[in-house]
Amino acid sequence: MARHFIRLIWNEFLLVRSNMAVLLIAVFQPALLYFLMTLVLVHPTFDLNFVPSDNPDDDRLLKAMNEVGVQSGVPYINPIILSTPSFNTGSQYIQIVEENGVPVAVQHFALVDSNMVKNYRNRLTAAGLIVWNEELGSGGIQITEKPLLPVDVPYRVYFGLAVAPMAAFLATMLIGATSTTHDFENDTFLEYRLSPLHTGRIMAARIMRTMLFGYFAAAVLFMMIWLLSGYKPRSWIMSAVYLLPICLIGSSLGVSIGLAIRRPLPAFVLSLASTFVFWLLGGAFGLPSGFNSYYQIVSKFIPNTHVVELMFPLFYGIQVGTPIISAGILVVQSMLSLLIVGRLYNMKAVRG
Amino acid sequence: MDDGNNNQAVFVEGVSRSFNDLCAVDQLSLQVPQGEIFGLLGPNGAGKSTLIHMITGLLSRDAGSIRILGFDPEKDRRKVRRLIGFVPQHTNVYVDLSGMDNLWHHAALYCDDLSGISDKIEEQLRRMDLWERRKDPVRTYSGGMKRRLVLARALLHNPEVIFFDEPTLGVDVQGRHVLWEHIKLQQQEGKTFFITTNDMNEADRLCERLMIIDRGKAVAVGTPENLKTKLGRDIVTLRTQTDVENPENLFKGLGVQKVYRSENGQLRLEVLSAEDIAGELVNRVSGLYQLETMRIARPTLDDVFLNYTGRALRET
Repeated sequence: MARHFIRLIWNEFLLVRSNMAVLLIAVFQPALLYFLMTLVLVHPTFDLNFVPSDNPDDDRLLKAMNEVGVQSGVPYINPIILSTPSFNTGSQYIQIVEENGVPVAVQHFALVDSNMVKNYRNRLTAAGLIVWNEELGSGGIQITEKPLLPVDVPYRVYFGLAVAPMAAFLATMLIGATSTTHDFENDTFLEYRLSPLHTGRIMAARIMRTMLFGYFAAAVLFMMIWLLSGYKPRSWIMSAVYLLPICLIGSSLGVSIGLAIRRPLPAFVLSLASTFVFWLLGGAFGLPSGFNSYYQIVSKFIPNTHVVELMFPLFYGIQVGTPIISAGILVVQSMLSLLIVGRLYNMKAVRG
Repeated sequence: MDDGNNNQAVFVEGVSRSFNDLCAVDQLSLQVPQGEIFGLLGPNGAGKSTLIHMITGLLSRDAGSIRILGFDPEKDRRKVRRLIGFVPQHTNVYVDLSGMDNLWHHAALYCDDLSGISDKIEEQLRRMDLWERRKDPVRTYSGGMKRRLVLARALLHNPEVIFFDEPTLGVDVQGRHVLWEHIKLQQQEGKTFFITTNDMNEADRLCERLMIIDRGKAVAVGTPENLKTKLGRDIVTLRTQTDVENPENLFKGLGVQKVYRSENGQLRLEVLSAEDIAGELVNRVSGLYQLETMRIARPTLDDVFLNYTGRALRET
């Protein structure tokens, strides 16, 4: 029995050869996305160009810019001194000028995203505050950061943590959906339809194979997080346990989409779109508690949210949300998705 | 297990199936004894696929009774699926996998006990002359090799009844003969074959009995020879330089049973005895038209098919 089931799973692995491109996208795309997003969006240190003037406050501001940072020691500003202003579409530079006898740090910018301009200004204001406090002495206002969490983990780690369930979900959805539509496309689904084996065994093999790819995708991502940030989950086993429901849900829904749609391209697109919606609504950029009430309500229905909350302590050492409720919701969602795939398989394969 | 039909490989009685208002199979009955090669002929849309899907349990029936070696394909689904092999018209293999892997895939889905399966796979591949190419991806196989692979796959779990949809569709002449030989060899070992085909030559050479169905109903059953003899007529084919007008009048009194006009302008006449009327036929046609060719033949299965369905098979 066990040997037979292992053979069934092995069969499913062999079939991966029929759809190698999708497999590669499914497994490596989330890690690549994380890598690029980490580089582009969530790096806290901003390069700020500074053009020295004759103003005596130049040195003080530059020194202050170097001091702006966070508790964990990552600098907020990396001042780059330019001898002369340079102009191109992405240009930005700061220069102190005197207006009505008052030194003003003027930030020049060309085609820079408005959010980035705001970010530049916030950092520059912090540098200005340091200069101001120096003059005010004891009358100044000191602002400092003190993490409430046991460890001050960089944001990029949270971002990676939120990508992990997405990675597992994407791999399971895509592989589940495309392998099933591939069977319809080539009429090989008939082999499954006429099999004397119990439906449950056939489906279990396919779902298990798909789930293993989900784990593989998550593992690749965790390696990437470790490589880029130096952080890894405190327990690999518990990570696997918390990812189990999302792998199960993704596999079941992926196979269900394949069974219902039967055509590869629409199934692929739907799987991809669902994955990204689940990711965005499931705490992609921060725990839902930090967002508005609508987001919080919607996110409760998204499995990613609960997986992120359950995995949070594995990186941050502190529990968020209510683990028992998250676990309960995930169990119910897993059962529901298994029920859906079972019903659909019964409709499409057994009854025809 | 019931009603004493266990000795029949396939037993179908009064089976009907409709799709909305369309009756695809209408009160159809047939019996195929064990060890027979049975052929099902019919134009497209005649109900062949619907019938096979009902017999194999892929489709439920509205009425009637079906048994495979005594088992109902709907109620004893899993039991029946162990007893049957199915080769669809479309060669449904995983082309990126090797021939061997395709058979392993089938074995895992169809065989409860995998002990000794390697030997069985080797045996089937050797039988179908595929052993040397067993590790090659199926995409590199010829059409005939793919069909042989699908047959090897269908036989792997040692089924009693094999349903074979268009066995040699897309296979070259040499490959067809090889496949026919394999089917006949399997029959000698006691296997029953239920074949659907549009190839009259194949049906004639391979099948022991045939059923012609049209619009969901059985219109003729018998051995190929029997069906041809039953027709009791000779076929005369005439080609004239210009189309013969009003042929029924022209051939009046000659014992012409039926006249068909083909698309290329030929006239096909079913006559009681071609030898008796050949001279008069030539005189009448030559008197009005320039006769190019005249051919007299014994009926073929094509003629049988044409007679019962009113359509030439290639036109369906």
